Amino acid sequence: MILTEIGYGALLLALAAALWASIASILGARQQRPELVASARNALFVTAGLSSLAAIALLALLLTKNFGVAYVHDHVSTYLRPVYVLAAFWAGMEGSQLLWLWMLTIFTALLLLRRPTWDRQLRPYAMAVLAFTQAFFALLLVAISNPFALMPAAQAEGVSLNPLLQNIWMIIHPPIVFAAYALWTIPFAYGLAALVTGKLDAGWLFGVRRWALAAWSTLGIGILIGALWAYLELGWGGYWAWDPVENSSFIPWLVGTAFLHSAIIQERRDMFRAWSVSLATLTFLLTIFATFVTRSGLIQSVHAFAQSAIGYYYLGFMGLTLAVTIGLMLARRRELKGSGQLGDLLSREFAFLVTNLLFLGSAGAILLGTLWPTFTEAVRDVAATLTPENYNRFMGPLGLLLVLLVGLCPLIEWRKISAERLLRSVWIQVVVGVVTAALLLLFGVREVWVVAAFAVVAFASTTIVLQLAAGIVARMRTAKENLLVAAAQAVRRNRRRYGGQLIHLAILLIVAGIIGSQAYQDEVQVVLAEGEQAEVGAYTLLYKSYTFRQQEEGGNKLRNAALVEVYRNGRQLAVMEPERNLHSNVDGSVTEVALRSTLKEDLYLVLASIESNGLAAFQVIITPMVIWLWIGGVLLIIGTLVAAWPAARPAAVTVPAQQESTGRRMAGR
Amino acid sequence: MSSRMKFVIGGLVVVIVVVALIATSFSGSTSEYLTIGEVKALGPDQTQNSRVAGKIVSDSVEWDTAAFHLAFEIEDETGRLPISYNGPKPDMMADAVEAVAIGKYDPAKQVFTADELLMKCPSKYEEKQ
Repeated sequence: MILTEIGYGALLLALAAALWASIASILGARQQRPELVASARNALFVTAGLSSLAAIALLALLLTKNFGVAYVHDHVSTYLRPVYVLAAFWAGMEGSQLLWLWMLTIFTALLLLRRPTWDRQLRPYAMAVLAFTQAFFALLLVAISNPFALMPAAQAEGVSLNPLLQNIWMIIHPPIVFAAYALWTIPFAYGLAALVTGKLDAGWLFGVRRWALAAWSTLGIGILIGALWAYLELGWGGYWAWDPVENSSFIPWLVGTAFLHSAIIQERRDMFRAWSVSLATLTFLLTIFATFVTRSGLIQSVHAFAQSAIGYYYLGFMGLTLAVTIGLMLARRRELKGSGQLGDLLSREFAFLVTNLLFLGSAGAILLGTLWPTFTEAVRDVAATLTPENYNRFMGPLGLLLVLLVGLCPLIEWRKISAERLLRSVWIQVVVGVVTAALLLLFGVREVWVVAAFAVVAFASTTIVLQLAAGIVARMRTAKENLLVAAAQAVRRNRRRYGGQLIHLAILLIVAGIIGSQAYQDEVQVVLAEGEQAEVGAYTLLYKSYTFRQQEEGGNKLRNAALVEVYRNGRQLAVMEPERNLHSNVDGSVTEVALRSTLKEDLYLVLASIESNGLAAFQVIITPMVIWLWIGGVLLIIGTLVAAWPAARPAAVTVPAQQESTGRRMAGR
Repeated sequence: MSSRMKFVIGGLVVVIVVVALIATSFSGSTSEYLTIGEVKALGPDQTQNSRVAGKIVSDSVEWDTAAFHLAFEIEDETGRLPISYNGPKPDMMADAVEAVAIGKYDPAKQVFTADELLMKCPSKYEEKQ
């Protein structure tokens, strides 16, 4: 078992190197000994190498199906398709923990590859925080969740991967989420470094802007992909159930969003210094909390990992992080006061404050809801669980208020704007909103909240489209460029602004998809014999033929499928084949849904059961606008790339003059 | 009034509105986790759904394809409970699996009618014989 020894040895050495790096970087900075900081930097490159080695060792063990190793035995088998071996790497607690450490060390190394510029003084402390976090994860792996632990006796076959996790989106969902969690460590590390050094001006925010944006966007995409997986694999026609595991990744995303907004305020107006630092810490803490939720057994969830003592390690780490941040913030309370002057209540500053309060309120409420069964059990001895209805009742209004602010904020000026001026600039949006509402009423939509929600989304979208268009039209006029050139030039000259607007537009598409799919879902159950057909909504479903207990994967899978032709107005639209299979490694059957997506609606077909004579029960679910969520996700990626892409020339127009000079001052010191 | 005061008061108003909204959302329509014994003690006038968890009793699962109906029993230390569900059999449903049913109890028929069924499927599996 040479590979297990290599892997475990690498983790032990990584722990030692990370501990050394955290001590050496602090000592080096305190005692002005650059050679110690350099040694810490080298140690952090070493941890990246060692954790890569451990990851490769685990992957090799999985690929060679070495069933003597407990993790391999529990997650793969001789008959598992090779592509899913990769998913097995992060299907269990030990592997996902190793993945997190690996990502964190790689991102740290990438950060350190760049020579220090603006962060000459902050970097040693940021390194210490990153190194200490690495040490925490390495300690977990070495002490209690060792992926290289051996089985008590030799094994000829493994348990294989849960069939629910055998899905292309499940291969990429965990690495994306863990990458996001690892990325959030960097803004947090620089936030603490800013507190230690007292350099709490916008310098650190400007420096970590791209990392924070990458972390935020990656987490959003990870959440969306998780939703897509649930939609495709779980067979209930929904993509979000307010389950604790889903909530626990959504909460840091909301707080991270508040962080990005408060960073903008601090960069522009030197306000909200304490907000920025504490939101960076809070987001990081909540990523750790997310893992704690799924690992500790604290909260009942259908997806949770088995209970374990690992929760106490997480609690300890979170407590320490919180104590250090609060202690430093108290010590730096004078420096945390920014120089910016508050403006009027009708000002962009106040609008941003409201934005942050709404994000934090939503995050806090979801957190409270997630912990609600635990609280009520402690207080009343009966665990009460919130239903999705409870969540929707506060998240709906709060979400729509945020959407309203997306449409309003760009029109409100800094410091002060008069009500008349605001009204003059907002009338087009209001008209579009009202027309949208009228059209919906005309087409028979009767639910007040649906009409209101779409009107608000239309209002906000109009603002963004007008803003996008204004810059392009101005270029077409002044530079006499055609539409495409003007658009490209406008974006190129102000990537940050256009990227931000594209991201907001992406969120609005997602919100529209959520409204449509939540408002109208049709669910019909039909039982058909072979050759029979059924009318469902505008569709005709013709049940053509079936497959019963066809052996696959060497007899480890029995495939049941029903072939259904879908017609509308006599025209064939699709051939769909939902499945309901038996797998040797799990009890009961597992559904594979069939899906036909259009911009208007999804036709979602579940084979509820099938008998040997072909009698089949189908669950047919028609949900409007689901695809808008995934389109929004793609636009989110594009917007982020535009916003974060390095400017072609060093003198980027995106750098506000004030901050650039701050950066230079810091670098020159 | 100084702009600092304005911000504090304005912020407080927003906070109060948000907290009030959340507080009203949390009341009502939550579902309580009950044992089977507690479910069986429920009266006929339940306004909220209950959640009840238990192991699926061996050989109790009956699926009727033509009626699209699922019936089974769960048990815990406080007793057994027949469950009725008009929907597809959940994935990975099998004997001895822990099931969570969300719905209402009918004391007359002594049946728990579930709106929603969840199977607790841990990510790790016991080794199979």
